[in-house]
Amino acid sequence: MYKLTKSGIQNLETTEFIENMNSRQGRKYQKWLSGGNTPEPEFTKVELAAKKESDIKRKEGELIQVQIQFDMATAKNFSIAEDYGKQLTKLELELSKFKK
Amino acid sequence: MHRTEGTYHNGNLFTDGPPGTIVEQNWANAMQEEVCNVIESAGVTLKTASTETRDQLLTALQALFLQKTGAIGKNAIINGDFRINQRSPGIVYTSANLSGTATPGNNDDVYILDRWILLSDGNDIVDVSQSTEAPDGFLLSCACDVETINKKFGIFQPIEQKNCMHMVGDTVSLSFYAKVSDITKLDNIKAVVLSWDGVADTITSDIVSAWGANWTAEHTPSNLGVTASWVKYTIPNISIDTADTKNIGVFIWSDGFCDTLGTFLYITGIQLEPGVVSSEYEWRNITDELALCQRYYCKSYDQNVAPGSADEDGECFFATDAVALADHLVEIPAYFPVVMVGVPSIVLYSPATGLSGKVLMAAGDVVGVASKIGDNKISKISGTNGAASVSRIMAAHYTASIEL
Repeated sequence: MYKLTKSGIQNLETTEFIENMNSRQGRKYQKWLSGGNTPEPEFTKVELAAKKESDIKRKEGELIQVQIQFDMATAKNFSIAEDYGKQLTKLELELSKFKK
Repeated sequence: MHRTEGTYHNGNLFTDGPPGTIVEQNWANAMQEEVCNVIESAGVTLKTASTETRDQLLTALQALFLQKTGAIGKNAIINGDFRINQRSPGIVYTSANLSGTATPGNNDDVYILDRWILLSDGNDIVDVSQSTEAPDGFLLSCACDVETINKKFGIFQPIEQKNCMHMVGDTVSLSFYAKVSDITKLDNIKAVVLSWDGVADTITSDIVSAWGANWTAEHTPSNLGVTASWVKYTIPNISIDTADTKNIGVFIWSDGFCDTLGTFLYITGIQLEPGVVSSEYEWRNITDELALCQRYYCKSYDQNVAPGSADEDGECFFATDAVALADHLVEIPAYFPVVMVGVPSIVLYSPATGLSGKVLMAAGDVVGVASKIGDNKISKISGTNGAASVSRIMAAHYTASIEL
């Protein structure tokens, strides 16, 4: 009936996001919890896999964008090319982490 | 104030000097009646010679003109005339509104018309709606239509601590208008003012069979004898004297059993005010009344559109274009119309389909997430979309709720 989210709880029946545990909805959740129930994790295995795939695609998209900017700046010998280079390195590192 | 027993008792008072002006009987009676009319028009019952306190004119004037006001005016009740109905404008709250849909069903202990909780001995006891059946000077009333026979039901409003502390330890008066469709079927309507001495603003509200822990009735409610015509009922001079009162609540209910479906109870013009007598209903500007309600519940939809509708007007929206083909995350904020009483719970809706839990992105509805929620805004409404060839958009509606 409830699911953990990054910043609180989501009521799966109403889709309501609940961050305030002192609220009417928060107190209802705590009563449910004290009844021996357990909320679902933020992501199921399937959702985790989908999220990973989505994160990789998104990071690849960012990488392409920065690569274009880097190539243009390098061709025109702009000093900002150095910054784009650093961003590229950082993004490549993040991407490799996502792919692990 | 009391009326004199005679009009010539004070003769022969002037023994020295020139004779005084003769106070004529007609003049004295006129004076007396002028004063008595002020007192009685304020709802104060005249005393007798033996109970005289010599403060009734002052009490009456205070009631009529100077009654103590709180931060939101003299009436501590919000939406007492039921003009605000954000959750389901134009729709009757019935059992057909299944749990999980945007429109609340007519279950026990559920907020329906703004700031009012339906309390009933079980679910689907009465359908509730805004009704145009109203006394002179009012637009609307709350109509409770019996759906299950022989069950008690009523409407309840708890008042936030910051809006009722000026009445704690003092005297208040309750008034409202009511009528029933059949006095032989609904013949035991009562009203009560309750005090909550638990944790402030953290109330339990299911009080239909018993007041429950931490709630205390501040007077003994009695059958008001509500008729089939609109009448203003007043319960004056109620002492809020429960120790450690944090919140005050008003409950109006049918304490008898109705054996006929389709019998109606109508209520409107509910006012709880400081003072020993009830005064005229305080009309608020609709902008102010709505803002008071939005402190507890608000939405991005137009006021006349029910949450969960497929409707783009007023949606929270973001768009950009000329971007690469890639999955993309969009995060946008949404501001509430007023600062809310606390951090609310949020439901997101797709403006395209009205589906809850969804936001609209380039490819259609995707799962939406509300996070970093404050009392004045949702900092992030997030959605992740697959590759978009031309543009990236996000559109979302929300409802925010932090009722007591």
